[in-house]
Amino acid sequence: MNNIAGLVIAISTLLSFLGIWYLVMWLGRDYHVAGFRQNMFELRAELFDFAADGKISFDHPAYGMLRSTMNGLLQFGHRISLFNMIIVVSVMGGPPPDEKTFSMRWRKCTQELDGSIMAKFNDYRRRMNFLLVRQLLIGSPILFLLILPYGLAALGLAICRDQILKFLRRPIEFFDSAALVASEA
Amino acid sequence: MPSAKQKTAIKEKSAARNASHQKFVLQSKLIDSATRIFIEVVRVGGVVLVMYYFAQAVQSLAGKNTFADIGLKILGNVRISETVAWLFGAGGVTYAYKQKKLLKRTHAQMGERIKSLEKRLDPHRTSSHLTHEGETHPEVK
Repeated sequence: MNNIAGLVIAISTLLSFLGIWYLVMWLGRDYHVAGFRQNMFELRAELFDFAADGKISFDHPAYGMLRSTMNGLLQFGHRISLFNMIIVVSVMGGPPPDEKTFSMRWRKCTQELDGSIMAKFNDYRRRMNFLLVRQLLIGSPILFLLILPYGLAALGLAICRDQILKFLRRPIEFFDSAALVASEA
Repeated sequence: MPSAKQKTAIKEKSAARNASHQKFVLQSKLIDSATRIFIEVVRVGGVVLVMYYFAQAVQSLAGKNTFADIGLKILGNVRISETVAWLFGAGGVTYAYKQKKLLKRTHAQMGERIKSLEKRLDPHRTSSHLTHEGETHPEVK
């Protein structure tokens, strides 16, 4: 192959690389954010329907807190990333130990709830956090590009959902608290 | 009535709590900024790298350096070029398919809610007879 033909092919390869880069780093990321938001909207709608059925008051602090956190996650969904989580884990280690943290406020809000309602609300919270973790892992273009066990992550999430949520409780606590505080600001 | 000492203690506790909260908000903002910068650096860095090689290839065409000099030989391999082009094409089709699926889901979710809310105000509300995913009904296709 002559020099010119090789260069034309090289330029074609570079253009394809550029296209893949745009797909992964811009379109793909936007798609994952949109998917995350759609999942969260569906969960929020389910929570609304639960309250609309009269099972809990719209004015109940647990309902307000969960909805506010979901709103915060929806609003800042584009900023959730694996890199963000790595910094949170390595630098901060979690939110401050005062009553502003999500868990402490959650305990206060839900302590008077009826057993079945509390179980349902804990399930909503668990599902909300699962969506967050899923977005952290699957929505990361860096992770995608490094081809870190992408399939394994999805499989792991499906199989060990609760264990992963438990393992990542500190960064999750951070995101929940930040979302709640931002939404209420 | 709380004593002056108790009032001071409450004030101090409240100030400490506010300081802790402010620190948390500040740290969140710092982490957020660092993340945004990192993502932009990676994104733009990739484009700059491709552009760098692109410029090298153009210079090579102009005769300033040779094809082999600039490390483009591997990019000039037909098989590699074809594979990357296929990946790009497949990626684009997958993206379009996934976007369509997401759009259908959004239609389905929003449509049902809008329908039920509008029916409360107008029980005789007429319908477009699109499917719940916003597509043409199979009977009118």
